[in-house]
Amino acid sequence: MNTPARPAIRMTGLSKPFWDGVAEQRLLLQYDPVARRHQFYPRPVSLYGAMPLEWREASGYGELITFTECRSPAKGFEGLGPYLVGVVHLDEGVKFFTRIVNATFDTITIGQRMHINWDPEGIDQLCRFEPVRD
Amino acid sequence: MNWLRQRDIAIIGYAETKLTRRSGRSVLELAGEVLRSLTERTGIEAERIDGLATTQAWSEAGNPFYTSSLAEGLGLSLTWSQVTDIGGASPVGNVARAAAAIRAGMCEMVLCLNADAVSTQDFGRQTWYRTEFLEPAGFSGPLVEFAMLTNAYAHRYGSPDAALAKLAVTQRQGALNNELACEVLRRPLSEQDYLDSKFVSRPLRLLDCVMRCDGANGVLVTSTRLARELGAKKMVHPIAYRERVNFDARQTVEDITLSGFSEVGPKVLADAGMRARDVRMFHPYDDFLIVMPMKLEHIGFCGPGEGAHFILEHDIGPTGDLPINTGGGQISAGQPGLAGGGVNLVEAVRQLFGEAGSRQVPDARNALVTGMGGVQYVRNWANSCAMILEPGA
Repeated sequence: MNTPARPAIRMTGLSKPFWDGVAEQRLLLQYDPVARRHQFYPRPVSLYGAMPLEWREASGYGELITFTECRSPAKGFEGLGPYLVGVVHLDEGVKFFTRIVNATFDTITIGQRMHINWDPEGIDQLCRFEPVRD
Repeated sequence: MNWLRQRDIAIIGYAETKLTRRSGRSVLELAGEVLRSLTERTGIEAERIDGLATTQAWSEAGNPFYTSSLAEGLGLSLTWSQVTDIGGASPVGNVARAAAAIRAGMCEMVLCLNADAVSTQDFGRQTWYRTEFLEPAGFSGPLVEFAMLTNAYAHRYGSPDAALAKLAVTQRQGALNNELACEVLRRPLSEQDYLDSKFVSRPLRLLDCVMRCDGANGVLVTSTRLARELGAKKMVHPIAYRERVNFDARQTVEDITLSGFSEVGPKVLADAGMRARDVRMFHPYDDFLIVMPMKLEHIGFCGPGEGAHFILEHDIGPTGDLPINTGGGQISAGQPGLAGGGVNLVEAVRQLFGEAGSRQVPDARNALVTGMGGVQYVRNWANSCAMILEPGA
């Protein structure tokens, strides 16, 4: 599925379950069953003290807490022109950096409900998010 | 417990090279200029230097023998050496590390050296969350992070544009009065020029951001006792220091615009027995203009969301009630890579020595200087440090 423009991800062993999830269009987060808290990105330890961590699938919903229109593209995104990226506070309680699609800088607002969006044939190696339409 | 309250540590000299875009010079050449200038100004022979604390350099990244290579190149023989990798917090952090090493008896005379030729060559390499979870989602560098912080701040508190324009113009005036600032930045700027500068990552403008350049700076740190024995003509004491690496590790802070300064700011002031209004001048690390209203709030100069208003209400020029980054800061003098934090530090020491010439702050009785570094995964800058300096006799 990779297009030649996409740089290879330097994946670590501890994040393999996450990337296996991405291949199935599932967003997996680490979960600490004692503290009852999710965390992202994948780490070797719980941020909240308990071991071992489980993997749980996220609902794919969250709230936009900030965003920018990026005009100096990251590697692999050069052909897009200005694009939106931002931080979604997932309903599971973790912050997630993502590209934002199906929105413009002037129409999107902080606080907006967001939903996960996959495009396995496109340039994105991760999921993206888009505004939830009423 | 303020371990620096006795004023037993002294900065007895400072040095700074001209800041230059793509100088073609090496770190060693820049470092040599700093060492030569320090020995000439203080009369301290290089032989006496037995400690070296340095920042890393993008231009030399990958050298795992960095301090020993510098010592070899500069002809220094050391009993204590240290390279500090907390980004822009390193130069100020190294003064505290030097103080601790001197106190511990590991060395007596420390060269705190900051040198980087990042605009000539950059061997830096990012890893971990940056390459695996940020860049594949379109993250192209710190300007994306600071654009997101600016947007979150503006959404919460209203647009800071008027205050940022005032900061841009005031600091540019400082650079016009600073012959060491990058020549390409020594051009007058109006508030409208700032507002009209192009968006690099909306709402962040080009003139919100530092320009990378090459350069070096440093200070000589010793005990107050030895400084007196050696007949040091001038000295500045670090009287309080606080540092936080990786603020909010457990991610319990909801507001991503909050930083470690909300902790280190109030603590460093309390250590020094001061309130924010006792600060005579402020030399904040300034890679992006937006960090300055944030820091004013976090440290306690004003309440949350009042930073922009504070900047508009106060005279922040050299003769004002709270002078800020009188030499232009990094925003208008240039950012010599990982040596950047030294630009703010050295300007504070220069002011406290009374040697700032046309931009001298009258009654320069103390200074608050800050450092910051690193970008966390979707939170804020990782590392924050703050030091209060006072002239000694």
